[in-house]
Amino acid sequence: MKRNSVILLLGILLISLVAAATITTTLISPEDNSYVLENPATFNCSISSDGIAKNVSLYSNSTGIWHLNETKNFTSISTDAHGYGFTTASATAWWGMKFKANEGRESLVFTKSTSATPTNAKLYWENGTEIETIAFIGNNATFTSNLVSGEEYRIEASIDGASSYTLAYNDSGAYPKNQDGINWTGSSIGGIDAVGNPTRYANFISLTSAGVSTQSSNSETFEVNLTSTTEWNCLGCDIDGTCEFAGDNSTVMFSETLFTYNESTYETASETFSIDFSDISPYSVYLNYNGTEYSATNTGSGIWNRTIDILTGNTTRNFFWRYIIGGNSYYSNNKTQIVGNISFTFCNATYSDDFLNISFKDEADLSYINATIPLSSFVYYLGSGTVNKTYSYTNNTNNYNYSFCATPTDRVIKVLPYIQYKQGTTYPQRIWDASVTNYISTVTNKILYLLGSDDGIYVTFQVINSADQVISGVSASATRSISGSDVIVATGTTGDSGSVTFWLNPDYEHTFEFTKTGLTDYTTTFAPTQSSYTITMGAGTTTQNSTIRGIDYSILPTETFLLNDSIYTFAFNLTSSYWEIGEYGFNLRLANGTEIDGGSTTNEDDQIELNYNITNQTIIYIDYYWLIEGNYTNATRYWVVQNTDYTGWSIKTFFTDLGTYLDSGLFGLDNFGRYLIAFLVIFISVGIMQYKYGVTSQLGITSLIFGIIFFFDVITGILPSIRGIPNLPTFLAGLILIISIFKEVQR
Amino acid sequence: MINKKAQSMGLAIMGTIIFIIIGFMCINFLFNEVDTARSELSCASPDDISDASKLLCLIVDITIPYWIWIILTIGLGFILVRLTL
Repeated sequence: MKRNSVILLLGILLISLVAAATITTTLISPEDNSYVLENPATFNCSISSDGIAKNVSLYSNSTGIWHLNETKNFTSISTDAHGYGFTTASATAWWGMKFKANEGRESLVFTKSTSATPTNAKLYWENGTEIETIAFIGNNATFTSNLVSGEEYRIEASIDGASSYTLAYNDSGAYPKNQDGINWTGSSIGGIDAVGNPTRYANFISLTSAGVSTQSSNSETFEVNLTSTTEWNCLGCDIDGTCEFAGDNSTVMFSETLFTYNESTYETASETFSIDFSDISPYSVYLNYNGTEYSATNTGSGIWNRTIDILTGNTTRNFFWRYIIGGNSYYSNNKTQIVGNISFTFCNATYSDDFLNISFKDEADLSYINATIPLSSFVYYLGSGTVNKTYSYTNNTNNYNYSFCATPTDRVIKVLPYIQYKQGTTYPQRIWDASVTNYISTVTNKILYLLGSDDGIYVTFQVINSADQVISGVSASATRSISGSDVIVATGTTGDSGSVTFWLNPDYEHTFEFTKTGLTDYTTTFAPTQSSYTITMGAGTTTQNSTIRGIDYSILPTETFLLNDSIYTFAFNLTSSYWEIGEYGFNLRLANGTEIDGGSTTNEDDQIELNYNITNQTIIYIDYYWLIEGNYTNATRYWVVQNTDYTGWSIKTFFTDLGTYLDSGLFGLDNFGRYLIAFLVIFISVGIMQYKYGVTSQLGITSLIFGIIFFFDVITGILPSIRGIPNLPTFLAGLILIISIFKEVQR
Repeated sequence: MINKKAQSMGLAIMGTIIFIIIGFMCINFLFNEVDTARSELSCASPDDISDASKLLCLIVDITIPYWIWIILTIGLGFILVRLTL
């Protein structure tokens, strides 16, 4: 009897365990202790049930009392409805459908095809009792009656005025039959196929139902406007009414943050993106623009910014911020920036706002002449030039002027022009190779001078150094005074032969200038009456100073070794009293070569920090650098990472705990107590050594005392400092030991 | 002629090595016990425990160093005993 009772109880327990649905609810995002910078915040809750998931709710503790924020039901298409629509040869038409009600159904929508023309739909019990008649609105007839789960129903639709007709169905509901339960056979419905099924399915109809879930797991997102940091949780329910909260509450920290950027810009423009953290202090911040990550600079007061040149491409770019707090990365919402096209081109119907107008004059008589442009190129951009576009133009027809237009018309466009121009053989070719020039929509007129073939001579300049070696890559220019203004009439660069040739007027004095980086500029003035000249350029007399002169930098952490599974703040700071620093920064490098961007800055004494969890790395390298006048100075140091897995049980733990406990007042021992312990240890040790081993020499006893004091003071750190002077007992004991040694030697 | 003392010394060294290896292997069993004891005694929270608990913590702290010291002492003792014979 007793045994049967036990079995019965176990059976009940087993049944109850099996019957009770298991639900797992998870607040997927935001993660616990994560930061949300802007509204609305998106919460994602999921539910997994061994039954059918019905809905999920978001709960908040923002008022100090947990309360419902929002509930979302899972929806899906009913899968157990069957039905076909028919139309007869006449205008009369009817449609029908049989279905079985699902659990959790909240509404029922009967949808016809657009070409079907019924006006009403009727809902019946399976036995033919009418429940509800609904007029179609558009293609939908939405029933409002509550359906009983598991019961079968029928829906029929027909055109008003048509003779009423009741469709019957076979057991599976797959094929309609006539009133007598016989498959349709009449030709009036379009015939039958080989097995007697109707073939004329003129208007397929469907049945959808909201609030019905046929899935065991599902997830929903909630858009919530946050006002403060608070806790959140999700409650998932299945159709049996079993509900379960997520295992852990998630604390979501809200810090309203200001994002500053231009919503629209242009290709190649320098754009500054700024993020203003109001009350959180990230260790490092990164801008991810179009998939490329750039480190941001902390400008103080919680504001970080980064300036980049916008990539080319007339499109919308996505970007977001990544910021690191406590070694974890958090992300802002995705943002977009519309990038417009910039153009610099020969004026045409599309581009008509001229920025640069080039015309030509005869250098001899200053008359306007026409010319061709056999080759030209224009490198143009809006920002710093790291991203730029190039326009090439060729025109072999003589024209008096050439107008170049650009867009956008409200911006300053920087252009690096290179133009070869001539007029056949009448005016030999010259080159205009100017430096970067700003152009705006107010046209800039540029006159280029040509010299007739009868008025000039070819003058070749060969540039050599003091060892008679030719120098290539020397920029050369010839300038002469025209109408009271100095005009560069020829420019060029020496080739591999070290020479450059100009077409010049020998009747006038020209100023020739030769420059090359690393060489002393050479300038001379004369009338070029000969066909060739030799220019000797010497090396500059600049003194190359060390790139570490006046540099003072610091690196964190200062420890000589690091402990694994710890978050360290790696930092690099630099000041210079001599050089002007262009940039400095650092990267971390792991043993496998993986590099972690530590950041960079252009501001001196602006410490760059990176919070990094070194996990189980064995060694961490820091590659730091600074930029001086285009030259990088690189250096590396490293930390060995000590694995603490096996150091928790060493004798060091004993002394660490002993020091901690003494600090907390173990047995009422104060600093005096510590000295007393040390004294007793010394006293007993010396006594034992003397009594047991006969150690009586002054040097031996002094050495023993020094060793014990050194152990307590330096190695274990138990002895407190005296008047703030660290390790004073050790120094005193060491001094006595040294005196003893001298004394022993003198003896 | 067989040098019995040399043979005895060799056996002592081998025995010592085996003893030390076994002894050190046994340390693995102590690790968890030390951790558990320290956790149960709240050794990391000196402000929350009594002086007696602190003393127990210190004894627990020194368990493994003491164990190692015992193993090495006994192991070396095997050899030193043979040397003095």
